[in-house]
Amino acid sequence: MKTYFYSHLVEIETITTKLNEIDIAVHEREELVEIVHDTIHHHVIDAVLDELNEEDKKQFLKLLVHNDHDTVWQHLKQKVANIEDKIKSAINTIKQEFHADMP
Amino acid sequence: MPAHSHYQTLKEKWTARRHAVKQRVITKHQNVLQWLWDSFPHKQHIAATSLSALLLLIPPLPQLHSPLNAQHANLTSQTQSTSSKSHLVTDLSSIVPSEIRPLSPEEETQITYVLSRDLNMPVKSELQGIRLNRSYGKIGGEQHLARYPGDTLAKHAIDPNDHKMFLRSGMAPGLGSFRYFAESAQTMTQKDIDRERYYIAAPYHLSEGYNDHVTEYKDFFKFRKMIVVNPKTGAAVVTVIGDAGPGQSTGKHLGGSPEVMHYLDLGTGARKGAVLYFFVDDPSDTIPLGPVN
Repeated sequence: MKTYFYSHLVEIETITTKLNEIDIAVHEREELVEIVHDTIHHHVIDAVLDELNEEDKKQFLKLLVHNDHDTVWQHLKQKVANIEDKIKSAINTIKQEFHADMP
Repeated sequence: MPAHSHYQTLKEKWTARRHAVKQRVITKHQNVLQWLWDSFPHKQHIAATSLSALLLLIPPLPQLHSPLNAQHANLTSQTQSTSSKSHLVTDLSSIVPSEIRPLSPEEETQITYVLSRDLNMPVKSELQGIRLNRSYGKIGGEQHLARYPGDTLAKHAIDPNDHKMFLRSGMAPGLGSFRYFAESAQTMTQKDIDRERYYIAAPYHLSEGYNDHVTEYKDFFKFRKMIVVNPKTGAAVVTVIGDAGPGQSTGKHLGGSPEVMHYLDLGTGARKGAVLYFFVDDPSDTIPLGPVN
């Protein structure tokens, strides 16, 4: 699984545990987990961009392209108060949507 | 038809959510994402990043892309404009793998979205829960097929150019897996003619679920409309599945009629190459067959 600047804040064990209880093949489970990670990734980017002005957004995106995790965090912590909590909250919101879909 | 499983239900919902989230990012932050795209003249620098999927979803701005006209091109008119073909090549270059292999679900989602957008038609990897065994592979040239009982190779030519360009491949000695396209020369319609001109041979018998639903699957695949794209040149042709094949021992994954190969820019030399191929979701049959103009 790819590592992003916020990866330490993501925990989807509750989702994978529930998927393990459903009668689906291993490769199907892996595909669904991949969709979850991808959705979380773009949801986090959306949540972060919502907190930034235009110039700070550009800087954030440039840093993201260069995959410089530490500098991304430095930038975000300078520009947005409680950014970690906001990202955690965004992740939890989207996780709840996934949970609601599962039997 | 396979029953809708937990996996399929979750996949549909979660794929839709993922798409909606991406679309939301694009809608809200398009200006800055467009700025990022423009900041990298060499797109491969951002191709492998976590933002590539988003950037490919940015709607083409008028000054960046020419809208593609989906009207039918006759044999003598020009095919896709050079600029629209090159845009398609650029848009696909960061998501189509260099290795000719089955695509991942994520790759299929990205590629079908790009093709739908750039070619202005609904492109899908799966219809009614059915899909081919793969959507990226090597295509090779096929021969013409008999359209009706008594059809001959010479009758396939519409004009002298046709004769020179398309008849060299000859005509298959046997019938395609769906047999004739028309009952007779008299009842043959322009649709029947176009179906044979722009047919592909696809191994639909290798589709998951085929052996349990042979009749249903064969009906589904008969003359099923598909878009075939050469990702190296951006050439695209709307085709129908007109035959089963090629045989797995040939090393090819798809076969194209002489006209299909020509309009895919694969009509000369070895007459083979890597192509993308997906369903065109066109229940009203409004999208014409042939090269995308």
